[in-house]
Amino acid sequence: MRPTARTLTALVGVAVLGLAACGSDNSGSSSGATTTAASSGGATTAAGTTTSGGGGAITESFTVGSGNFPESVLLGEIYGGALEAKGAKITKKLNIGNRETYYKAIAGGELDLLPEYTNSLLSFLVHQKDPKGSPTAKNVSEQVTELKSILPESLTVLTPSTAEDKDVIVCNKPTTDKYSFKTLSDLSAKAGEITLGGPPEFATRTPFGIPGFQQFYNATFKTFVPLEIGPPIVDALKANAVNCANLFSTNSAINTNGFTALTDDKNVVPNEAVLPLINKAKANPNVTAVLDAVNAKLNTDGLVKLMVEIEVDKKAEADVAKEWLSANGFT
Amino acid sequence: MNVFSDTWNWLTDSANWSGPNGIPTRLWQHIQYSFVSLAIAAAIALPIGLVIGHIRRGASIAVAVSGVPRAVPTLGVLVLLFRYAPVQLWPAIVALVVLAIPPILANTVVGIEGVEPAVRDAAEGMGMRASGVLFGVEVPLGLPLVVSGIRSATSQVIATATIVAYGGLGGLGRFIIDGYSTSNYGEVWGGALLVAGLALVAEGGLALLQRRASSHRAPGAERRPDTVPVGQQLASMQHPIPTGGTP
Repeated sequence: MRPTARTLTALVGVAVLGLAACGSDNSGSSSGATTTAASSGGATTAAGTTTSGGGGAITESFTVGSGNFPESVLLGEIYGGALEAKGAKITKKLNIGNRETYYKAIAGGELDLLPEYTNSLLSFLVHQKDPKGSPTAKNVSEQVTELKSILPESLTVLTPSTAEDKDVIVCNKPTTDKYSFKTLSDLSAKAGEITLGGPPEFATRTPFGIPGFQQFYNATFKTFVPLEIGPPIVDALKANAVNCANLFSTNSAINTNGFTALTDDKNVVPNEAVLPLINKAKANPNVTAVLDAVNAKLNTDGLVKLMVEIEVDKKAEADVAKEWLSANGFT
Repeated sequence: MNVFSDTWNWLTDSANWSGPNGIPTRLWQHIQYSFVSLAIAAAIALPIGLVIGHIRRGASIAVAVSGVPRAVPTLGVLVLLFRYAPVQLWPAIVALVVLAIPPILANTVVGIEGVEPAVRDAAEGMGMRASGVLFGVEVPLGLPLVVSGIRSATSQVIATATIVAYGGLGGLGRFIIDGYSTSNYGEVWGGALLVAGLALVAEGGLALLQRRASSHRAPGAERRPDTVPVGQQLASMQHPIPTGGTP
């Protein structure tokens, strides 16, 4: 009977472990869909205080949307909050879904304003016209020009910020301690000793993928480990199961784990500057002035810090946006 | 450009049949992951099941408790363990072992416990020791159910071993995950078909084994009683009129 009791305990133990697994699965981001709280500052038109937005009062109403990931929600909150401080009536429909979904909504007139990224939006629009096409623009200003010509009449983009959320290769501390990599060329010189992690599509993707590395940097890595971009890759870097891996440049884990983001010295990765996609009819000089002022204050490092507050300190996007707006004189 | 032709093209493209990401390599990895997980699960569940079934106490509790891990999401176990051991195989093996134990354990307990009391009493009355009763009588009689437990664990493990690829490792799940992330649905379907095919082959093999396990006892006992071990003679008592034997 004794072995029985013991095995029962063991089985229960296994069960509890498993249940714990379900429990902790849940704890992820709980940013609900569609933030409905219309305005916490109310319509009390930025009571006379001079804000760095400049320009006059805004009388239009805006429906602000965002993609379904925290950074996009944050940027939606920031754009919306800055306009609201100037008197605009803001309805938030954040956390909508992927680009296919929210682009349809803004093109159909259900949304007026969205935070976007230059290359992602441009690639999406080019693909819509020609599934085999790819953007010709290389840098941000070319991307903006191409965007303005490809967007439908009703939509336009404004001046981009210097904040970028693009693909980067980051290396963990043991690796940078050993090799002191700074650029992708440095990494490529030692590629034969490096285990690289990346999303599965990295194995076949070009220019930023294994074939691109071979073509542009003449690098062949020791092994490639396909992992989901985000926490699985971060865990693998932390455990030194991979030396370097593909992450997005604003991922808070880069900061908090002492990873080093390598410079793309041959400009293989297209720029992904943050910029507003807006209903052209509502983009009057006052509105443009406010959003330009916001974009002038946004940069990649600043965005990473805000993402640390959201992803590590678990603050709500709306609160982080509110603090940023007031710290930068918009409210 | 439909999913059938995409799948057919992927499966028949010779480039997909060689190299470290080729079908043979991934298939062999998949078999290895499945076999190791099943072997560990059997090594844990069979002895426990045999003992509980034999002593006939706590059997209902054991069956109930062994059902609990069935509710455990294998992906949950895997994700939790991968956090601490990224890109290692053991988290996946643990998750698959947890998946495989319940069917083996429950069927073993039920199979052994379900042997007719009269048969056991007779064996004990003949002076057989506990181990003799267990391995000479109960195991041969309970074998079809035991094998059926292993069989259902096998198909579950083979189908679920696709999640190993989630942790950056190999196996046939690689095709499903890689195909999905590159929008190559021919590859996704091809990978899924290979998994299903492997599960069916294993299932078929074990079904044959199960048939042999259930048929080898009684008819033999009828034909050559003098050479048949006591256990099998006793076994034949359970089915005095064997379906396949001479009446």
